Parts: sequence; structure tokens; C-alpha cells
Amino acid sequence: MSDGERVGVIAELVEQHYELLYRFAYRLCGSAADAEDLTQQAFLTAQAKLDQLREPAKARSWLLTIVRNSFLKGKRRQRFQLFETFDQLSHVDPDSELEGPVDAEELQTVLDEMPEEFRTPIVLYYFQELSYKQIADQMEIPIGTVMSRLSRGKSFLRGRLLHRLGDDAPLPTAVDP
Amino acid sequence: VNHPTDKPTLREQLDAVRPDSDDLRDADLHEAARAVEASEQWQQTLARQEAFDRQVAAAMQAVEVPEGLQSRLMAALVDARHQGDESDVDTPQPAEPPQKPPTRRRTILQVAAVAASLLLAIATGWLLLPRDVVQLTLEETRQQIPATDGAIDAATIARLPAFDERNFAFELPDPAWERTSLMVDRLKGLDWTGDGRHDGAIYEFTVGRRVHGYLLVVPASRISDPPASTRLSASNLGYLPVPNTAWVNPTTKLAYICYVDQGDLQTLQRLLYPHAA
Repeated sequence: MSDGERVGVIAELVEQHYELLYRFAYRLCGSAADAEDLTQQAFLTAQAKLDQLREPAKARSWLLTIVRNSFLKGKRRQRFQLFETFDQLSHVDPDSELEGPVDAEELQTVLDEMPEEFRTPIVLYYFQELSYKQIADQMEIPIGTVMSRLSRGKSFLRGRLLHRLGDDAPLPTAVDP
Repeated sequence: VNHPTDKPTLREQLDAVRPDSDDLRDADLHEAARAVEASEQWQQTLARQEAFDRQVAAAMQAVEVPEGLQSRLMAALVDARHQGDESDVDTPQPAEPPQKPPTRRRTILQVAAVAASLLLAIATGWLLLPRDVVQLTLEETRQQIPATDGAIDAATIARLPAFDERNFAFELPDPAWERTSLMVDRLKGLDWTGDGRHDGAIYEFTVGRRVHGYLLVVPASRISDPPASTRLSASNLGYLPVPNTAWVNPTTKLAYICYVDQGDLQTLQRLLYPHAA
């Protein structure tokens, strides 16, 4: 591939996918500045590794994987978090129903409260609409672990969103700093 | 709480099912499928869960994308290309990317600085240019762009120094060019008279995803036979060192020579001036 062709391909990838990548990155990290950095890093990596993209139809998935990997690498040092409080908050009536649409900012607030191990599969499930098998494959963890994290993550989401839409009694912080 | 390595509970299996999918046919979710098939209560549970999933999925996509992000990304990519950036997927540094793109504020300041320089140049007048200025013919000027074997030499251009603006201030040809990726801080300077001041500026641009090229910008006064055209025209071509077209902005008195190495001049003209006759 000539330099001119590479430039054209990268420009096309940016034009087609930059909004998707930014939104995905934002849901993962919860910060506009970090999301922009992640998006930029993803395209820089894509530019450097463009020869790895054999099938253009898979560009979307490839780019999203780069974003997720970059995010996880950055988070590796923050892996160990306290889960007891998270589990306590996860115990809500699983059949509780939300009334009305979910507010996008409230959703991000709740995602930010989740430990990364739960947030990533939740974002992959809802944002990318990946199956539990695909999530297991992407995160390189067992299927049973994905199901458990999805279930606990959804329970936490439901509980926090119900709480935010319902009474205003304060809840303890889900993840201690 | 169920341990992750244990067999998933019925509830966990149901939580793994995506709305409007065939997931329940998976062997891993066999128990959940049987429960839903046999029990109205589980059917209702699944329906409530799917309604919740749809609400969350809709909100998940609702993220506002910052203005100017695409331009900043393109600028960072061009910068990385020029610096031979070796970004590594295994060692990403999302918190501190190797090259920060120009922020919107910085870009605005740069554009403002260029605009101020231009106003100053106009105010002081082109009369202040030295009378004994060295002139080239248009054909000679066209060939000042670094090129090798009939192709623009991008690597050499990348190594050129930043344009110094001492002889003239750079200005885009017209407002249509604002649609190109604005990389004012990456303007390169060419000194062909050897006096240590830049005689020409080289502006690298992309338009959409189809056209990439360079503008060589020179004061029209430096060309002994400046082009008669006053805007880009793909029907008015020079051919050395690569196909190009030249024109003069009558207001700024800057001459532009446009070279395209990705796409072609006809496409560039159509993209920049879609409503032109």
C-alpha cells in the first residue's frame, strides 16, 4: 500500500468511525478528555498497524478492540478495587422496573461507580451489543464469569438507576477510592 | 453471591440474553430457555429485563461528540506520520498520548495569529517588499515542490523547517479551503534564494477521505509571469514535476500551486466548490 493510499484509508476510517469510537471510549472511561485521548490513541495505533487490517468490513470491530485494549492497559494498575460495597448495592429486586427513559448522564454516573471488571462487559453488551460469548472472547475470561459480571452489573445498574429516579436517600459510594 | 467459575444461575443466564436475539438457543443457556418456555413468570421476568436492556442501550449511545474532534484527530495522525511515530497496540498510553493534537483553543489562536499577521502585511503593504526581490518563472516555481521520479517527496517535505513568515504571511486561498484539515502549525518553509528566509510555504491538506495533497504558496510578486487564474481550476494544468494547477488570489496577492497525490484535482475542485458551474 502506497503512502498516499494509507493516508486515504486512515482518513476514511476516521471519518466513518471517530464518533463511534469517541462514544465508546467515553462510556468506558467517563471523561471527555480521556475519551478523546483514547480515540486519538486508537487511530494512531490503527495508522501504525494498518497492515493488520486484512478485511475492511471488520474495521469497526478492530478499532473498538483497540480502544478497549488501550483503556484496559491504562487501567491495569487500578485493578484491585473493593467489591463488597458493590455487591451490597447489587442486591435489588431484579424485577424492579424503570419508568421512562434512562438519562444518558445518570447512566454515565452509575457506570463510573462500577469497578472496571463489571463496567467493561456492561459497555460491550449494551454499546456494542456483543453476546456473552463474544465478550468472553474479547476479554479472555470464561463464559460463566461473563454471565456473572453481566448479571451483577445489570443488578447494580438497575438498583442505582431506580434509586436516582426514586427516593433521594443517599447510598454509600460503590467503589472506595 | 455466585462465584464466577460456578455454573451460572438461571438469573445469570437470563441476564446474558440480548433483546431480539437468538441467544436463548445457545446450549449454555439451555436451562434458561427451558424455564422461559415452561413458566409464565420467567417469561414476564425476561420481558421486563429486555425492556430494561432497551432503555439502557438507548441511553448508552447518547454521547455528545466534541466539536472539531475529527480535525484534531487528522492533525495528530499527520503529525505522527511526519515524526515516524511507532504507536504500539501492546503498550498504549491513553493518558499521555505521544503527540497531543492541537487543541481547539490552540488552533483558534494559531488561526488568529495568522490572520493578524496577514492584516499587518496588508496594512503595511506589499510596497515594503524589497525591490530587488528574486523572481522565478511560473514553471520554475511549480518545480520548487520536493519531488522524486514524478512523485511528490512527502518525506522531504516532512523534514522541511516550519514556515518562518518573515517574507509573507500564509493565508488559505478562500473560505472553501477551511473544509480541508487545517494544519497551520505544520506549515513548512522553502528557501530557494538561499537568504535564510522562506520564499514559499507548503501546506499539506486532506479533503474528506478522498483527496490528499499540497499547496505551494508564494507571493505573486515573486513570479515573473504569475498565473492569470484567480481560483483553483482543474482544467488549467501544469505537468512538472507532477500535475498541478496554479492561481492567484487577487486580494492577498498570494499565488497558489496545488498538487494532489491522493485523488485528483477534478475531485478536489468538486469537493471544494460543489455549487460551481
